[in-house]
Amino acid sequence: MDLSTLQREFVAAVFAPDARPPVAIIDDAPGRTARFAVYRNNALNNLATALLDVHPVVARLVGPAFFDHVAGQYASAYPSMSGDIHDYGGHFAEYLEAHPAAAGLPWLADVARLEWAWHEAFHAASPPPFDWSALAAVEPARQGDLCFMPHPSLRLVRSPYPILHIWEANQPERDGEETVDLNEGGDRLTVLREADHAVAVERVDAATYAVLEACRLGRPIADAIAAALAVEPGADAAALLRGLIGRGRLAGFEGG
Amino acid sequence: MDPLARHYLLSLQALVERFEPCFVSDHLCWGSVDGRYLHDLLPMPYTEEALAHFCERVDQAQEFLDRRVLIENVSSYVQFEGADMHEWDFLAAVARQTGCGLLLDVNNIYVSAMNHGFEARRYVDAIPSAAVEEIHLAGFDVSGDLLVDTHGRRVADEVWALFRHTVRRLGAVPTLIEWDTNIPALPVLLGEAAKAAAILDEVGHGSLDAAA
Repeated sequence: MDLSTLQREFVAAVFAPDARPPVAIIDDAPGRTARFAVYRNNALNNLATALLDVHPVVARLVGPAFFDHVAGQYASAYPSMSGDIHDYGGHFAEYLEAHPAAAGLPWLADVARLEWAWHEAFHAASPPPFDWSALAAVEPARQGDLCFMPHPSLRLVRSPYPILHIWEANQPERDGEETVDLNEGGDRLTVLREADHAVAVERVDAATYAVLEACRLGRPIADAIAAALAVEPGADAAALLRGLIGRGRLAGFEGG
Repeated sequence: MDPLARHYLLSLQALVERFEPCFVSDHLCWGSVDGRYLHDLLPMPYTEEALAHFCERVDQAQEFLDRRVLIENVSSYVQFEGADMHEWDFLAAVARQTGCGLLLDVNNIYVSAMNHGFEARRYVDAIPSAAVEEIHLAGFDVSGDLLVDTHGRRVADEVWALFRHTVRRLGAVPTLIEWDTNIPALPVLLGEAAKAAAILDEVGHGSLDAAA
C-alpha cells in the first residue's frame, strides 16, 4: 500500500464509528484493535483535552459526562486543521449553539465564545509600543482618515446574557454556590492580554464597544467615532480614544 | 501526502534565530493527511517509497533552515503489511542519504522492541554511531500486552541496561530525561539525571542535560 493511501485509511479509521483498524495493519497478538486503539485513544484524548483546557467553565457548567460526550462528537464534526493544537476548538461555540442537548442553556455558547476569546488573547502576538510621536506628526485635517488597529490580543464578545457574571462565578477556585440572575442584563466585553501577560476581561459601555468594533473592521477613526456617537450621543470622543490607546486596546494606526 | 508546511518552517526558523539552539530535531513519523492533524507521532511504514519521501522532506527542511537537523525514533504500536524494512535500517538510511544527525530515544527503542518482538540491542548496534548527537530516556506505561511511551514515570531498569549498552557503543552522548506527564518532585527527576550521569561517566567524559 502506498504512503498516501495508508495515511488516509489510518486517519479515517481513527474517527470511524465502527472502531475497525485500517486493513494495512499487521494482525498479530494482542490483536489489531488493541494496538490501533492506542492511536485512536491518543488522538481523541489529545483533542478532548485541548477542548477542555480552553473551556473549563463550559465543562463545569455542563459536567464532565456531557462535556466528554460533546467533545467526542465535536472531534468528528470538526477535524483539527492546524498543526498547532492551540488553533483547535474555534467552532465549539457554534457547535454548542446548534446542539439539541444544550438547547435549555441558551447562554452556554456565549460563555464558550468568551473562553475562546480568552484563549486567543492569551496566545496572541505582542505589538510594538504605540508610536505617539508618529500620531502627533499627522496633519489634523487627515487625522479622521487614520485606521487604528486593535491590540493583536483584543477580542470583543457580546451577549444578551450576563456571561461575565456566569464566567466569574464558575471559575475553578469558586465554590459554585453563587446564583446568577439571567435577567440581570447582557454584556459587552473586551478581552485583552495586558503587559504582565494576564488576560483581562472587562465590561465596556456601548460607545467603547462600537469604536473597537469599527476599528476591528478596519474602518477609519472618523467612522468609528460616528458609530460611538450613534449609540451614545453624549460620548466624549477624544477622551474615549485616549483611554483606548492608554489602556492598550488600540495598539497602532495606519494611514495619515 | 500533505505538502511541507512552509508557514511552520518559517515560524521554526524565527524560533531558531531567536534562541540559537545547539540542535533542531523532529521525529521519524507523520502527523497529518489532507490537512487533518492528529497531534500524535504516527508510525511510518518502512518501505522504499516512504524512505525516499522522508529523505526528501529532511533535505527540504535542512535546506530551508540552512542547518543539519536531528531525526528521532518514536515508540510504535503497529506494523504495516508489506513494510519489511527494519526501523533501524530505515533510520540509518535517512542519516546516510540526508546527512542529518540522529537523536536516539533509547526508551522508544525498548518500547517498540517489546511491542514488535525484536532485539533492542540489534537496533542500537545498527545505528551509525557518528550520526548520534543526543540520547533521550523516559518512562513508559504498561497497557495490557503493550508498552506505551508516556514520559510519566521513572526510566525502567531494562531501559537503563539498554542505555548502558548504547553509551558503551556510542560514547558519552548528551542525554536528556523526558518527564512531562505525572511530573514528580524535583529530587526524583534529579535522581534520574544523576543515574544517567553516572553511566555516562563510567564510559568516558560525560556531559549531561536534564530537564522535565
